[in-house]
Amino acid sequence: MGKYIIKKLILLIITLIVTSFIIFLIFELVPGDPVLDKLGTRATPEKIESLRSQWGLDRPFFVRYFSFLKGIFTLNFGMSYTYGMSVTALLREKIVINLVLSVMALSVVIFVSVPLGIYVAKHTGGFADKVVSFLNQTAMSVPSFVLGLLITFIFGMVLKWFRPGGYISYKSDLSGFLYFLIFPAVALAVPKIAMCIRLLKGNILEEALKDYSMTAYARGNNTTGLLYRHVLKNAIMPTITFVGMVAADMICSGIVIEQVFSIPGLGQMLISSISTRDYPVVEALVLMIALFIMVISFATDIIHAIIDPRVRLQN
Amino acid sequence: MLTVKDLRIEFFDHELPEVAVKDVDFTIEDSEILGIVGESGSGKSMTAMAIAGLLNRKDLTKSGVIDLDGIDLLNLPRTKLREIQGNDIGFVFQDPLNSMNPVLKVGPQVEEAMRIRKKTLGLSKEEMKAIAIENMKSVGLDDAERIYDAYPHQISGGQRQRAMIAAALVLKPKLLICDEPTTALDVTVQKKIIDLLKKLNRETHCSILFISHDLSVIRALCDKVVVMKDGLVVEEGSSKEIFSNPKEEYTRQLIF
Repeated sequence: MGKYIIKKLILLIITLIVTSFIIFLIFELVPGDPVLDKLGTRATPEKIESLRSQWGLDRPFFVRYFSFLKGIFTLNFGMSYTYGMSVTALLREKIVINLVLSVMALSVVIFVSVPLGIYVAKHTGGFADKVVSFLNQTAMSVPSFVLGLLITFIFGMVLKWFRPGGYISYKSDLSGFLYFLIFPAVALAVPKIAMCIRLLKGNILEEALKDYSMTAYARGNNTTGLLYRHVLKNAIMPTITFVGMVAADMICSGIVIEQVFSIPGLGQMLISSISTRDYPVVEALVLMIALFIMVISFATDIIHAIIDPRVRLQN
Repeated sequence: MLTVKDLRIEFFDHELPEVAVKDVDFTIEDSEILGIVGESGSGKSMTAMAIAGLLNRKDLTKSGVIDLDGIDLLNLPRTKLREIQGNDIGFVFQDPLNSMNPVLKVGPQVEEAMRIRKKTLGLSKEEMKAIAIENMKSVGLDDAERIYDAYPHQISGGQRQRAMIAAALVLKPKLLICDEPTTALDVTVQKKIIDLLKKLNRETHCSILFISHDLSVIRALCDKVVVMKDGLVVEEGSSKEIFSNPKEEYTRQLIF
């Protein structure tokens, strides 16, 4: 197991380095010059040269890449072109917002869909199953941002449970911040919950028909015993993979949702810094998103290995 | 000990009933080995599953009598049936790899019949493990301690089937049902499993219902033989009779 984790960790670092190179290369190739963008067309060549050397853009490509790469491990991505402050300080708050939002939405997905999926699988064809199937169909076909608008309207404007657009920074009021994020988190989670329930139910029913389930019945197991002792461990694997993908998607969907709820998160930062060609910020942001996805997939692999001995003992 | 009378199993496929097993009769006496032989689709596995109470599908009806020492298995409520499954009847399936749970270790699967009845049996974890290991040794798994902690994919096919037999016998059932237990194994392993079943039958006196399409296996093992075709019993008799003097044309075809 330890060996497996180390192997995956090394793989993660290699992927990170490759990804960082691709990200850096892409923003090198994108047309547009941040220096000209900042100074305008009437700038003198001397001024342009001095800003270029101030930002370090006169150094060769690989030198700049290696300082970027070094920055990943020291968490120092240089100075933002537009804000004139360090990228790390600029992004710290945004990352906290999106991380909390994603984790909240993900917990909602897991804690709602796993018990509900098990329940409807156990009572297939029953009343609850029919209700959940109907709700699933509806929830799956409504995109998160529409749901976000609906939630803003119903809970924000009609019921007045929260103030629309009234984002509270975690620095000033942590509980207020967490409370406000519940609403976008739910908007993010609902469509995923629907998919997750369907997936889990389908897998449980499929596993329950396999030979080993028949053996378990032949030993005198009841449905509950079969479900928890045998089926669940096998049936949960695809759901774990799916939750991993959902987690990765949370960051990207979060970019849309934060617009709906006017949260000053990564998304707004990303859009504004792309339009001002603030490359240190954009590169750091894209890298953070990529890193988040990599960590999630690393975690999924480890959970798989814990549950399934065939994964763990393969090598 | 086991009496099957007028057993009839019908499917409902697209509203039309389809008969899988028709009027099957046979009896198994104490410590007897009965073989059911027939080609695929003859209803032999269906019969075995019905006896073990494993046919609970809604699209299926069963009628007749399955009597195990005075208990009518066919009309027994599910809860009562579960007490018998694994306790009075042990079941060994065809494919030992698929019939073991891939994510559980072998030991806990061998113990499971005991573990389900932990409260009634009053056994501790260590006692159950000891019984499981003893059982695994008695079916010829010499390094039972290692296999106890191994996963199904880490042991060989023959070892898996032995472990499945140990699991089925862990509560000393009166009847062991083996549904083609040797079909998925190599020929040399087949022979060893047959010898093992013979030995177990001699030592523990448990009756065995052995299902196979392979006549040579049946001949080597069984006291009595039932030949089935298309859900019907074609011929029934002692192993000697059937193999030396088959009465029916179909049996003759099977043998030669």
